[in-house]
Amino acid sequence: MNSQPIQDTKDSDNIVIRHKIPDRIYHWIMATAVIVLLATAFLPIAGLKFPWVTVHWIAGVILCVIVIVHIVRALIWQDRASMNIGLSDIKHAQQAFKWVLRTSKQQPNRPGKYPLLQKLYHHGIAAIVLLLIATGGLMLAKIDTPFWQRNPYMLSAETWGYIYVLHDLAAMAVLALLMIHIYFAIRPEKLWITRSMILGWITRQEYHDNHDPEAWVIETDKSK
Amino acid sequence: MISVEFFRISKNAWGQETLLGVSWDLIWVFIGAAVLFILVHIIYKWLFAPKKSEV
Repeated sequence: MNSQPIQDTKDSDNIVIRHKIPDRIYHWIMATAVIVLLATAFLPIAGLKFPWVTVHWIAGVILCVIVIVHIVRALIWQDRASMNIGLSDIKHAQQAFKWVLRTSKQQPNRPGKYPLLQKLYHHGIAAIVLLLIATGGLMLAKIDTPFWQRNPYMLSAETWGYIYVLHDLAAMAVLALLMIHIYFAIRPEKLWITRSMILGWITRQEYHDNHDPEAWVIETDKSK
Repeated sequence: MISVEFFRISKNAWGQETLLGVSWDLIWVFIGAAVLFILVHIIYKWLFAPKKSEV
């Protein structure tokens, strides 16, 4: 890397905030909700019998509410451009591909706040979670809750079948993507990203080593 | 030979089939795909990935 070493301490001048508190709270509530949803969905199928329906639908409603909050926050208060996939991402991907295949000795340029693969992962799992929320929301019509009476005849049996197929496939896809997500979160060279999702910050050294300061301008630098 | 059913289907008293969802056996396809991806990535990073110092 081409940056000068910077002392790795947690002085406020030496850290960069990568995830603000609301985003970290959102992430961990979502993670808890998804794990509860997967456990209550698949453990009974695996033979562990318990009354799972109530916990499942309540966790689903919590997931739906926090996803809506996240979408509103992302559209209004967050930097949406940092998640857009643009020509620079394609260029970085080409550079990375050549470097990985050893057809080029030039390391790929550093990305902005989020590299292409993180953006692709986010957009992919976002689409799947939205599909789960939509199909799961419809399935709430099939159970009694304190707020409404069940109405399983709202849709035809055939339509319910298609909804269940979509919900089941999306749930299995989330399980697979969660396994891959946790794998990357615990890889030694990625622990600095995991730490930032717990504590919020990365060091300036990590910022300069892994991000393009022109593509991700941190708030203290904006005034310069 | 392993055969995997893709759908869960019930039959009513008149023999009509109703779609219930996808087969739970498919979960092993998704888990297997994730494990395979992870193993391939571990092997790639261990043996083949260019090191950042290799410039």
